[in-house]
Amino acid sequence: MANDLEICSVSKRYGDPPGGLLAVSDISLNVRMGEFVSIIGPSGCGKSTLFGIIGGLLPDYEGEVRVGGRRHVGTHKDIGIVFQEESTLPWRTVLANVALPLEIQGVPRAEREERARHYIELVGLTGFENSRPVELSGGMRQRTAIARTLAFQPKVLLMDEPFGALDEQTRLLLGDRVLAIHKELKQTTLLITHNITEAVQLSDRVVVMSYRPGRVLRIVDIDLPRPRSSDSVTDERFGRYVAEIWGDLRAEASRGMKEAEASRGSGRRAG
Amino acid sequence: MSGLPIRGFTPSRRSVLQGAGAALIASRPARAADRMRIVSSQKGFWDTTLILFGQQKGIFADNGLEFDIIWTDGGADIQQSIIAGSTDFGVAPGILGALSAFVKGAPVAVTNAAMTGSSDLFWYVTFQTTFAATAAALLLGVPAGAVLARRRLLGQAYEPWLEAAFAAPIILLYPLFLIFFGRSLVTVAVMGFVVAVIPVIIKTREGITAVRPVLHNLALSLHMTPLQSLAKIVLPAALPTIFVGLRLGLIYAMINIVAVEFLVGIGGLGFVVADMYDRYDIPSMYSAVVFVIVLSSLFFLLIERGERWLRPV
Repeated sequence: MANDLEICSVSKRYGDPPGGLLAVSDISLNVRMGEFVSIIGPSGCGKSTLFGIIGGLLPDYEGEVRVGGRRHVGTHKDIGIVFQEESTLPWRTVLANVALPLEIQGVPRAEREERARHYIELVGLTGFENSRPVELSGGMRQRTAIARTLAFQPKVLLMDEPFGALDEQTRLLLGDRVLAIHKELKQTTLLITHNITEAVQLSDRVVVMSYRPGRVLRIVDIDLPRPRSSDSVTDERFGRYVAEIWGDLRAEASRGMKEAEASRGSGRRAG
Repeated sequence: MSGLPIRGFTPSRRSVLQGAGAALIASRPARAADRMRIVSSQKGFWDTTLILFGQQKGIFADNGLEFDIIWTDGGADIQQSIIAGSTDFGVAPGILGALSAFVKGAPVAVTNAAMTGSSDLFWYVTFQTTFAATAAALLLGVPAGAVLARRRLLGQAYEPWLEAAFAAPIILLYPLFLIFFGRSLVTVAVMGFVVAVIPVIIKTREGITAVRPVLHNLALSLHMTPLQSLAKIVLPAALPTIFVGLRLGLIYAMINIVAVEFLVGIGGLGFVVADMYDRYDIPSMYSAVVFVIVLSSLFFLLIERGERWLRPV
């Protein structure tokens, strides 16, 4: 099957060598059409940097990002982004938030509202079209953001820890919703997360990254039957995958934590 | 305000012009046989032209009065011609000039000390100048603030100056403004604008600078043009802060405008306060002060509606 997204030897350094910080180093990854891939790594593995590069939000990196076989620089209309931070516009209703990308594309009002309603239904927010984000919970706001990105009809859906700020139970239930959407749209999806359960629950493949500089440690195929749901967590294999990924991550995460603590300590001495 | 008629001493005719304005009467007989000569300044200004309107409408003719109107260059000329006896009755000679002539024993008399025209024009004048000053501050301050927010270095360079200017008592420069813009409502409006635009610029810059990076990224990811991103993301996000600036601007404009009116006497509620105080008409003075408060409340209501309309949440 064709690759929707190809990441070829991407590296990113902040500041100049030798003093600068190498955030990600030589990352290569292909995401096939309709595939759901998660990138998981400890804090400080350059996940957000990689997200910025793929999304076209970060300039000046080495390597190439190709969409549909073509190299692209800057944001791409075939890549739809769901941000980690709250990104709904509080002055717009759910409907107007979701219709925003279509408004930008100049789709007539009636048509864009109809299409927006479709995606609102898909994320399970029917009945809240006229609510404003302040009236919604964090999970509902994030679903609004997802519907907005889907309305953009991108080839690739790029999500950066979209449920990072939510509690575990909400996260599992929203995972179900994401699975349902993926089943319906067969949307090529790249999810960036630090949550192992989430990665295993949703993905066809999980890319495990090392601590700084971020490298691909290994890629785990998740061979769990679809359709999946949050019930999959009770599957015996589910636990094995989680254990396997944690086994890889553990050393990296503890190295990250030690370095972070050390730099904090030196910072205090310096201050 | 210059709403004082001056006229030659012809008591039987005094009542005719009462209500149309204050009047000074020369305390010597009118020149007999001739048609009466009425002198006024500045044709076309609302309080000096009443006499012309009355004549054109035939109101004076209906009451058996015939006269010629002579236009001068201002209150001083009116006074001169009355004292010299070449004219009989002056309209709108300037209150202070007329009063001082009277006090010093010049052969004049005041027949009517009421303001010419309708006194509601006073609140209207203040409303007009404050509205113009605040609207101009909004229209020019928001783009200026947006530029300072976008060009970071420019913003950092000018921010301290703006804050210094915000704290400066610009009202004290009113003589300078009078020289630049003349003794007119333009000066009053400009003085209001100058103090109103500063907080609008400062707060617009602050509001736009504080727009969260994720919203800029959203604009990028949706391929918005810079104008679309400004209209659909940046300005709505910064709107509450911009309106804080607008409210501050309104307060400062109103204070300055009423104060300049108080000091200069071109009209408006500030002038009414000063005028009533000079006449020791304390209740009227306080009602004018209350009206200033009513007017500012009205403006605040307008601004609130505007904000609600632009951004419901």
